[in-house]
Amino acid sequence: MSDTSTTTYKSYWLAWFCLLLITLAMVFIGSKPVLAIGMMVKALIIALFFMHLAFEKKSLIYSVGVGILVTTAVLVVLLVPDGRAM
Amino acid sequence: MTHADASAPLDLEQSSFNVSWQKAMMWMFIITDALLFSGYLASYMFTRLASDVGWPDQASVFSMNFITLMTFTLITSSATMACAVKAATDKDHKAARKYLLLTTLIGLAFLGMQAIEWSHFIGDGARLTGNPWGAPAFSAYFFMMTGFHGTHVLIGVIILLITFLHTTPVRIDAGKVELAGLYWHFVDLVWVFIFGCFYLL
Repeated sequence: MSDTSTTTYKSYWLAWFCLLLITLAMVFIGSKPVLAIGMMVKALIIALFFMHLAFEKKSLIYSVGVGILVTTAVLVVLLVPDGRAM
Repeated sequence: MTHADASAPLDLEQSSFNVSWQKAMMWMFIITDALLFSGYLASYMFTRLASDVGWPDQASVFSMNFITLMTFTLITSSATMACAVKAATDKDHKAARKYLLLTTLIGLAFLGMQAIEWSHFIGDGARLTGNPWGAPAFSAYFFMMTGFHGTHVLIGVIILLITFLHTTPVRIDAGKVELAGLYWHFVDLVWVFIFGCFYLL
């Protein structure tokens, strides 16, 4: 937990401001690429910075990242294209 | 002797992820919980694409200003939670308690806004089995996804309240605050995808 010394209150509020800006861009532009990129960037800011994942050991980063991303990708790839075909 | 026996295996267990076992288990829980919502969102996309009836235009059903305000509320609570964890780690007890209480209150505000949204939606005729705007699955997925997320927020508020009550102005267990923080940020993370996929797409 010594990692928190690397962050400041100011950096958290800067991250908060970035999240607000991305949210506004998603609401007002709303095209599919903006939505997809907006969601990914927001998720990365929250996971890596707010949840301190960026400061953890690589084994934890890979366990969480690969665990969630691969299984989610499999779910989406197996399910969603079939919906379009129907 | 007993002290050495108790502490030696603990160091070994910590070496793989370099975090306490509590924190490692919270991360494992978050992975499994993320898959629950992944499953929801994937089946939602499938149903929406496969629907014979047109999918309703969300902007004409919901007040997008209100939903955006809800999103801001949750993001703000995530920022105050991050500040609470930092304050607790820095042993700034007064600030940590202030931020913890603030996060709890903002979380409650989000729940209140969700209650208002549900009341409007149900008042307009939406049910689990159908709705006046089009595909019946639209309202079914709304209730299931925001309901599951709202339940997570409610559990999060209770966890935050318990964490707050366990602190005193002179003693704070920073590890516990951090665990509560991980869960709370995760709830915010899920809302990012519900907001993007359900309300905006």
